[in-house]
Amino acid sequence: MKQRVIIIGAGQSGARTAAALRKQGSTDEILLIGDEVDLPYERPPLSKDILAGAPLSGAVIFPSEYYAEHDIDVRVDTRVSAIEPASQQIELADSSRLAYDQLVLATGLRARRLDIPGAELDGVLTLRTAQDSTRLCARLMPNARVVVLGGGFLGLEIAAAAVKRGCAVTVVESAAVLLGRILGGFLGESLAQLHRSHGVDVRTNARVNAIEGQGSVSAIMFEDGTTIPADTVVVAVGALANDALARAAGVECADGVLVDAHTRSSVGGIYAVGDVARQRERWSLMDVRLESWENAESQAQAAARTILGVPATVDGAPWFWTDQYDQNIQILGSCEPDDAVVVRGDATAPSWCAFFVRRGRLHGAVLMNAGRERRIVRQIMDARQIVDCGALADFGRPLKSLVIA
Amino acid sequence: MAWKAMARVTDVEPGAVKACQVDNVPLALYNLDGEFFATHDICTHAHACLSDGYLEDGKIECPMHQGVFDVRTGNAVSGPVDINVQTFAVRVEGDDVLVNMD
Repeated sequence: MKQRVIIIGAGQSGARTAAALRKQGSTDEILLIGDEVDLPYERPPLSKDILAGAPLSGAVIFPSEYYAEHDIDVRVDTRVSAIEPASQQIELADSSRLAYDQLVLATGLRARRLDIPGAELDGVLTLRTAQDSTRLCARLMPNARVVVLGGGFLGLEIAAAAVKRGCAVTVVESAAVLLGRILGGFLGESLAQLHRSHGVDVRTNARVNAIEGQGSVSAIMFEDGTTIPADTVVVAVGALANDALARAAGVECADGVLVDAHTRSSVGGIYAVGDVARQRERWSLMDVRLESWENAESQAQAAARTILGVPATVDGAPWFWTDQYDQNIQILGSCEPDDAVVVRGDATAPSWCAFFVRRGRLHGAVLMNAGRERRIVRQIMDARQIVDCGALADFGRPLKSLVIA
Repeated sequence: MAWKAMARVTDVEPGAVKACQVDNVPLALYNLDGEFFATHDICTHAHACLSDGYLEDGKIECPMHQGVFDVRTGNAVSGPVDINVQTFAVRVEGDDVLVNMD
């Protein structure tokens, strides 16, 4: 009998789950429901190409014909108000109900907001959706004063895009070093230098107490009472999982829907994929919620197979990239402050790698304009083999020779 | 048939890939154990150069999103790529690798 798979959330992971189901030969009815007005698109370009003025079409995952051709019922601008696992139904905002056999949650994230005076003023923006990106793009005029609150990857990409558009940009980071939480401070100083060399005013150890303005933003005020003028403030201080629907339905959550390596949640027939999913175990990491393109893709593939009864797990070192100016930085695994760091090549040259070694194993890697090495590095990491730090550092020795077959 | 010089035979070693430009078209030239193949250099999924990617067993992996193409046929074989990459006929004449841009 024909079953119905409902996917809530029409972002990358939702759309790719639907496509993977069809590619794997599913003949089920597939419904893809999203609350945004646009057809599914990839989010990485939102803080890169789209801010530079590129159209959204370049980020759209499939043209509209694709969904018709593959018999995928895609419903945009549609909100789900409840999930009822007992009756295997969902309720839409218009109170209509739909029954499901399998339910995939791909509800993604929402931007974390700052709880400070003035956070609601006009000109204070966050960036999660294509509409957010278009709105921000329209404000990136030459000489516009843009303050980015948060010096994480998103904040830094926005800063790079704004500078390219001729804006006067300040990045405000409360920690002592950029990206300290993710990279143990390893790249923080050199990234701050990179941004400064492009004219960004990077301020670390800086906390903002208030955003000032009459109706719309005019300045930000620091903890010490000093202010700097601002035409636009972008709040880029992280994101929260959209797991409220799941929680209300009794699905186990912890800032994200808890799933196993097959993307199964604590409730039978309900799966979670992409940014909203917190995987209990992946590779050498526990309870990880990965906000990355790769995770959205991997979990989509695994969910489709699991639904179809084909064994599939999401495993291996996580992978992530960021583009800032002409730098492509790829990060694999997990880089922690107490890992031993081995640099391969000259860290002042355009292309090099840094390896983070933990208990003799390759635990994390930073590839600076060195995407070509990713495949081998990942192979070494996934095998969790013991590595020779001297050989890792030896630029004359191909990484391939380190793989234990 | 418009055969144009693309590179010198010695420019790209066996097992390697090199970026070339012919008629303002970015191309990737592959040397698979002495046999040459060419594809468009830009991945069909996103703007990245395949020539910056990883070549193994006649397949090139895009450095950005891990899309994998068969170098001989241009077929998208795995990863997030659904569109094949364009291939170009090549032949060796003396020390030169020629490409057919038609």
